[in-house]
Amino acid sequence: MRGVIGELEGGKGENGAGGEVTVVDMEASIEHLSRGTLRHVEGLLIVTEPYFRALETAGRTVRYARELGIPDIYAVANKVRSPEDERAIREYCAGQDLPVLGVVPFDEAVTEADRAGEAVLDAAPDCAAVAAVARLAAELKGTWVEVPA
Amino acid sequence: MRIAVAGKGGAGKTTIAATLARLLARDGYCVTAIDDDPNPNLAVALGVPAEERETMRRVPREVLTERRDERGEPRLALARPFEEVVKEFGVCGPDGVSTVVMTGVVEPGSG
Repeated sequence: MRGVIGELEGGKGENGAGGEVTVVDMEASIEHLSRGTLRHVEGLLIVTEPYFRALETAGRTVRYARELGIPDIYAVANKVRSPEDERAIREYCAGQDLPVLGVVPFDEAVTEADRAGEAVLDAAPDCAAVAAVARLAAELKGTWVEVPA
Repeated sequence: MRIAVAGKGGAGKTTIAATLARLLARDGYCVTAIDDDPNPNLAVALGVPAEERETMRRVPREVLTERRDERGEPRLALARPFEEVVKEFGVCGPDGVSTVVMTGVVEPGSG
């Protein structure tokens, strides 16, 4: 199976002035994906928590993604509760030569929005987690996506 | 720009993917969000209302067509314009983020 994601990229707003972004929420592991599918993905964000098993999954994912030749791979630290949490993720990622592009704190507002079946951006637009994702978006703009005209 | 978001189940990738998609859309980007998780809930995280979520259907294989790429290898492509596919199977969500569920469409391949 090839090219669907790439096709979608060209499918929308081709004549628009704004930059196009496709965000794909992947299956938990990417091992099931083929080289062909992922060759259309320029950037991969690996979301990880400061727990051994989540970090191990991130490690496997980054190795596989490199085999597939995905150009830009970053970690996003999530549910970070303490400086120790952040350090654990940064140390692990440094060992994998994997840059950490964003650090999102553990935030009760995310749990509450999940419980209510709402978007955290609507339920708690000013919460710390949303602010951290906004910083991540700003990083991405500097890294990957062109600024819209 | 195509950004894939991966991570262990429960790590928060859907929340981050959805929030990122909407924030980029607010910044003027034309954003498409694709749910490739077998247990799709990206639309919830995006804040698509329940009654609209009920109208969403997985994009079926019939919408895809096979064609040969420049190297003669088979590739799948959308057989219909993307806007039409979103209208029929997906929704235009908050902040104008187009959302479709393509689980099982992007899947193991020979590549």
